[in-house]
Amino acid sequence: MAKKEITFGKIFHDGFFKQNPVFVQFLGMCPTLAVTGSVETALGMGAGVIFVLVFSNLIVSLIRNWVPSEVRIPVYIVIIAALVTILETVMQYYVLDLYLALGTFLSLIVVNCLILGRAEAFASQNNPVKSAADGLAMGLGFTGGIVLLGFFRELFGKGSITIWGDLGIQIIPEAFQISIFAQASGAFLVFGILVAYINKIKFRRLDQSEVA
Amino acid sequence: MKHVKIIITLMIVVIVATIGVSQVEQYFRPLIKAEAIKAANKAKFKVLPGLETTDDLSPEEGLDFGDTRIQEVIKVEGKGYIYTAKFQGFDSQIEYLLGIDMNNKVTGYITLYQGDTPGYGAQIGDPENWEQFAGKPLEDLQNGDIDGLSGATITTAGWVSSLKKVSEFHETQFGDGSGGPIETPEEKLLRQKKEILPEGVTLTDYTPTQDITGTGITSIEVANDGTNDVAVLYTAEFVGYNEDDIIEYIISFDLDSGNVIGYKTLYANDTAGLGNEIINSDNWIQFEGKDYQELLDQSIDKIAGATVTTNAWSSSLQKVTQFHRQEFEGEVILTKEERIELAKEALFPTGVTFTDITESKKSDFIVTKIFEVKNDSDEVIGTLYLSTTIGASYSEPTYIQFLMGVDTENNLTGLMMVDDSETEGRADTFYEESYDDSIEGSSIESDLEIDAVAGSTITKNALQEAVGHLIFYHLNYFVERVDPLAVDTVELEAAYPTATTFESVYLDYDYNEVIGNIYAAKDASDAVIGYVYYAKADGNNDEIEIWFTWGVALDGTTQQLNIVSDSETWDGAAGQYGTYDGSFGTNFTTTTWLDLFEGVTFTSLQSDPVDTVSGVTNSTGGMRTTIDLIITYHFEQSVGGAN
Repeated sequence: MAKKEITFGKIFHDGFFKQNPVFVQFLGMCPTLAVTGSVETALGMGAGVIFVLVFSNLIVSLIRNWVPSEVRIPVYIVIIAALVTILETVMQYYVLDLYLALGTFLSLIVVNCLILGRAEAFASQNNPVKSAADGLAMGLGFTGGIVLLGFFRELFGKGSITIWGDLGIQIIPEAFQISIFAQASGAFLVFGILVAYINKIKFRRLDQSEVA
Repeated sequence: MKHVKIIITLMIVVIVATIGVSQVEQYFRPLIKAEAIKAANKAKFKVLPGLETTDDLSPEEGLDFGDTRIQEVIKVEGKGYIYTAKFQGFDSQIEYLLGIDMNNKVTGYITLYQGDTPGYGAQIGDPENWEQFAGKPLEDLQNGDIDGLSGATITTAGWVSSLKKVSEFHETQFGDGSGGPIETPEEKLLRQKKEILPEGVTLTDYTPTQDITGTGITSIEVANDGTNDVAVLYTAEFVGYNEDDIIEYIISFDLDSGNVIGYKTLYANDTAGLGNEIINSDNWIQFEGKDYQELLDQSIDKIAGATVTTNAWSSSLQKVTQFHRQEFEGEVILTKEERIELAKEALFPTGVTFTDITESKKSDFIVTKIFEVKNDSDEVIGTLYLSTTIGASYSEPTYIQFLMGVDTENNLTGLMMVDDSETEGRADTFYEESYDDSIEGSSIESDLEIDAVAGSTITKNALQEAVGHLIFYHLNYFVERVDPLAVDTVELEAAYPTATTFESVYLDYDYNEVIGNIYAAKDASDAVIGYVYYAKADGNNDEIEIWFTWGVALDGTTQQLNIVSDSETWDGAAGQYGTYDGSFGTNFTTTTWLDLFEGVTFTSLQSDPVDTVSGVTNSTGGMRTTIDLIITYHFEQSVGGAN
C-alpha cells in the first residue's frame, strides 16, 4: 500500500474530533438517540462500545491478511457478535442495573455500523496495535459524543447528573425541569443543536484556512 | 482452492467464536442465575428481615386460600411468613408482599406490581406508604387500622380488605396452632399481658386477702421490676349481651399512680359489629392511663349500639377497680348501688323486700324511686324514698342523691346519702351513718331540722329542702291505692245509656286519687264499646266533693256526664254568687254547662277546652281540673287502646 503511514496522534485526533463518530460520521445513531437519557447510561453504552471496538479492531487486524476478502464481512460480523454476547454476559453479572437500563440496545451493538465501519475502514488495513488504538480512539470519541448528549438531556430533562448508581447531583429543582429533554424527542433536539454548533465551528475554520 | 480456504476460514472463525462465547457463558451463567434469584427474592428479604439465602423459600403446599386471593405463603421456620397476595385496585390488579413474624407482628410490606392511576391509586407503589407496616400488630390489619391512600378510596378499600383477609387467614391458619402455631396460647397470653405492663417486669400470681366472689376476677398477678412491685394485672370476665358466653379481659393498674396502664379484651363472642366490638382495640385505647376514679364512676366510652354489653362491661370494670382499691390501696369504696343496699338495711333493719312502686305513684321532680318495704311476714313496714336533688355548687349544677325512710306511723327512720357531685369532700359528713341520728324516729309531721355541717351549709340546706319536700309529698301525694269505689249501675247507665253491662277495669291501670273507678261499657253482645269514669272534683271549697260518672266511647266521643253526688253550695241560688248571671241554670247538678262535655271528643276538649263560668269559677274550675285529668289519664294509660 502506498498510503502514507498513519500516526497515533492522528488516530486520536481523528477519533475525537475530525472523524468523531457521533457528530461527524453520524455512525451508531441508534444508541446515540436511545440511551442518552442520562449520563450514566451513556457512559455504560460508551464503555460497552469501547470494549467491543477495541477487541474487534484488534482481532480483525490480526486476521486481516488471512481472511479472504469475499467473506470478510461475515467474519467481522461473527467476531463482533461473539464479542457483544460476551459483553452482555459479563455486564449482566457485574452491572445488572445498567444491563437492564440499556436493555436491547446492548445487543444492538452488533449492528452498530461504527464497529463494522472501523473494522472495514481501518483494522483491515492497519497493524494490530494501531487498530486497537483506533478502536480506543473511536470508542472514546463515541463515548464523549453520547455523554455530551446525555449530559444536556439529563441536566435539562431531570435536573440532575448521575455518574454511577446513586452517585449523582441534583442541579435544577423539579419545578424548572423540561421533561421533553428526557423523552425521545429531546434526543433529536439536543443532537441537532449540537451538530449545528459543531458544524459552525468546523466551517468557520475552513473559511479561515481558505482566507489564509 | 480459494473456495476451500473460504470454507475453512469461516469454519475456524465460527468455531473459535463459539468456543469463546460458550466458555464465558459457562463461567458466568450460574453466577447470573444465583444473582437473579437473589434479586427476585430481594423484596422478600425486605419484608422479612433476618431472612437468609440459605433459608428454604419454597411455598407452603396444600393450603386453602379461599377467597383471600393469596398467591403463596412461604413459611420460614423460626423467622416468619411471607405472603404474596393480589387484589383489585381502581385500575389494576395489585400484587404485594407481606411479611409477618412469629409473634403476629407485621415485619414489612412491599407492593410488587400496580398499574393504578398516577397520583391516586399509584401511591400504593410509593415506599412511603409501606413504612407504616413494619412493627404493626396483626390485629391492626384485622381491624383495618392502616393509613389509606389520599384520594384513592376504592384502591384503599381493596387494600384494607385484602390485608384484612390475609391477616385473618394467617390468624386462623397459623395463629391458633392448627397449622403450626406461631406462639402457644400461653405465650400469646403472656405477650398480651406484657403489652399492658411496664417493660422488664416479672409476673407473680397473687393470692387476694379479700373475697373475690362476685367481682368476676379470675386471676390477679403482681408485676415486679426487680426491686418493687410496680403494677397489678387482673384477668376478669363478665357476661355481655350473649348470655351463653363470657367476655374475658385483662386490665393493669399502676401501683404508683393508681391509674390504669392498659386494657385488652382476650375473648368475646358477642353480637358481631355490636357487642363484639369490645374485641376491637379502638375501644381499648381509652383505658391507657385512665384515672381509676372514672372506672369507679363507670365513666367509659360506650360501644355504639351495644348498651347491654357496655353496661355489663363498665360494671365489671367498676368491680375490679373497686376490688383493686380495697386490696392494694386499703380504700373502702362503696358503689352507689352498694350504698343503697347498705342504706336500705340501715333504714329498715327488719325490711326483707323492697318493691319498687314508683310507677304507681304521682311523679315528682325530686323523687327518683319509691320502695315499699315489707318485713319477713310480708307486712308493709314503711316507705323508702330515693331522691335526687340539686346540690350546692354555684358554678355548675351538682346533684345529691339520698335515701329517706318513713315507717307506717309516719316516723322518719333515717336519711342516707348515696351519691353526690359536690365539691370533693364537702358532702363527706352526710355519708356518715350517725349523721341523721338526732331526728331519727321523729314524726315527719313535726318540724324536722337536719343537722348543720360546718362548711357545707348550702348542701345541708339543699338536703333540708328536699327532705321537707319529700315529707310534704309523703303526707299529701303518697296515698295508698284504695279499692275501686263501687257505684250504682243506674249512675253508669246514666253516663253511658247505650251500654247494657259494666265491668270495673280500674285495677288494670294506674291509680289516680281523683278517679274512683273505671268501668268498661259493654253492649248486648258483651263487646266493649266504651268506658265510664267515676271520678271526683273539688267543689266551691275544699270540703265539697262532686262525684260524677262520665262515659266515653272507644273513639273518644264523650257520652253523658252524670253528677252522682254533690253538696255544692251553688244549688238553688242564682245571682247569689258574684257576677254569675244564671245563664247555665241555678242548680249545679243540672246545669247546662255540664252538657258542654257531652257528645264531643276528648281530643276536641283538649284542643278547645270548655270555659269556666264567671262567678262560679271554683265549682266549674274544679270540674274542669278533674275533666282535664281524666282526659290526660285516658291517653297516658291508653285506656281501651286510646293514645
